Amino acid sequence: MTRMRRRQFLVGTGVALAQTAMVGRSTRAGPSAPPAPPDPPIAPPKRPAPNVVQPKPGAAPGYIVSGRGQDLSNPYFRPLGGPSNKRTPTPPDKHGKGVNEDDQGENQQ
Amino acid sequence: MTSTLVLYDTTGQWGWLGELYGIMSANLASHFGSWTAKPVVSYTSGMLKQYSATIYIGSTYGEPVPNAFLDDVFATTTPVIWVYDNIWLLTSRYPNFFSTYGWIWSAFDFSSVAEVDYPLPPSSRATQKLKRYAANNAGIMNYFPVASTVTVLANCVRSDGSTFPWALRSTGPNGGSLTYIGENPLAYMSEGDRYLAFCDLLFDALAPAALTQHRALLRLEDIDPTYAPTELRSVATWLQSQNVPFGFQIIPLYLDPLNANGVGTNIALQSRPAVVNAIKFMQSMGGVMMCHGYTHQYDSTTNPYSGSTGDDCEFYRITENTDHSLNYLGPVAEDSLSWAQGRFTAAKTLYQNAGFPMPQFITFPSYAASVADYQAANGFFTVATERRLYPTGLLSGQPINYGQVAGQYMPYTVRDVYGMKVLADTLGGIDPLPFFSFPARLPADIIADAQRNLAVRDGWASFFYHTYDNISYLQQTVTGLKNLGYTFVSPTAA
Repeated sequence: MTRMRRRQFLVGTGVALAQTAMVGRSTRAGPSAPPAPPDPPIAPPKRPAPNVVQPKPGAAPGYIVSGRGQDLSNPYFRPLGGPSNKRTPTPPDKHGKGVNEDDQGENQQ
Repeated sequence: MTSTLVLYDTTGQWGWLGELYGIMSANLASHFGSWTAKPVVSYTSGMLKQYSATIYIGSTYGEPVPNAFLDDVFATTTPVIWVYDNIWLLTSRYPNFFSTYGWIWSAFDFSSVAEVDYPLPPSSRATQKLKRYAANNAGIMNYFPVASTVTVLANCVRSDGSTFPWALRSTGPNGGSLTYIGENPLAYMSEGDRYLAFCDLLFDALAPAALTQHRALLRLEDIDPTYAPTELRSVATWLQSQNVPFGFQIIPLYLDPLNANGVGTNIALQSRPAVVNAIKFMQSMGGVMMCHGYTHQYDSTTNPYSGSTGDDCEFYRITENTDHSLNYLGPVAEDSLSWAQGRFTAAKTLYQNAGFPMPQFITFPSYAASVADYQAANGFFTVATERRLYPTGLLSGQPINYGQVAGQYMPYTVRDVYGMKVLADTLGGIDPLPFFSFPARLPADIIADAQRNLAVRDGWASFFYHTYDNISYLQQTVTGLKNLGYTFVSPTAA
């Protein structure tokens, strides 16, 4: 069974279970989990092109395109970074003030 | 005092994304009050009721969410907003979830969805057709038919016009509300995007009595000592005639070490008295001066375009690909807290030499800077008017990792995780000409996104304009925003 066919099978199975639960007013709520999406929510980062554009007078846009566009290399469009197996300690709590609270700085590192 | 508990995922090979989403959620929560960010795996029983509301960003499929959290959510007395993954852990633990909350998920829906409609009746506010990146194939949770006790807050619109819920809300057994959003709105964001629906839903949880109002901010961008003073004066004169207060950014030193523009280099503000006088005129017309870096370029190299002031990034290394997309490489080689402080100090001197005090507002060139640079800015400025970058390490306390970074625009004023007051920057800038794969951004585009931005009940339409562009672009945009009901206010009143 291909991955896609298996995923479709699992989706179908889950649907059947949940429908049974609802129609019968069973106490069973449905499947335990939906199948995972086929890809991570964020795709691996785009590889930089091997050749960086050389400077040319007049080559700049009206302003830098930083932060613009639905380009996968734009961090304002989606986070940048790839999968990481590096294990790190569970982060501690972090506290921050509201914007209308007087003194600044608590949020700083 | 309003307080928010922000819970985020940390496990698995994509666990670092959870920290970024935690940062972004905390930034938004700061609009309403204080916040605490915590890995969901550290949750212990009873924490929910210690806060006004809780946001959980489920970004790791299969995160080991503690039963204590599931139990407290099911029995909550306060608003809970649950985003995306792991809702099935709650419904599995509570077989009576459907009979209690009135809805149950069915499966991820992988349809192409390019539109999210929000808000929906019974909201009295007009429904906006928010954008969604149609190629985002992460899947959106779908549901079996929901009970009449459930409020569908927003709908996904498939390419064939059919719909299914994007977010829904119902009340639990102890009076607390559970809002569930079927996808992560903090990825694949753009202007006019369904991210705005998430931003507005926070009002229901944290400021339900907030009044609906729509205000606008304008920045005149990238002004350096070589700018034409007549253009500065004419733009300011027109804005004043329209009762439009505005901000304007001044770069105090023009450099062009590679002679890209042929107008000289090392031109300080005080050496151009006509520009200095035009700046004073703009102030008399309601303009508020802002700092836009020291030189708005880096060293004697391209970063990424020409090396010239206004073209290049100052505080972050950026290269350009052959398809003209950009690579955000990280801080510049010299970057440190003291290096950034030195640039701001040098800028302050040049402002003072021209007869101006150091501005209280900062916009980092190119929307890019390092953690040290943002921290340095806290010592010189009180307000930022920009979009900002947030790498991992800011919450976790681990070394800052610029290879894992997200940017965020704010729909309303916040105090971000760097501790700075940050104003809304929702619409980007007017750019009349396309640049390779980057389309032009015309007044009609800005106005259309401002229309979508009305989805945020106390949101801002914030855009910028270059004074060298035809003033008709500015006039069309200002008029269009006013016609939508926006009121322009000074950055000092934001």
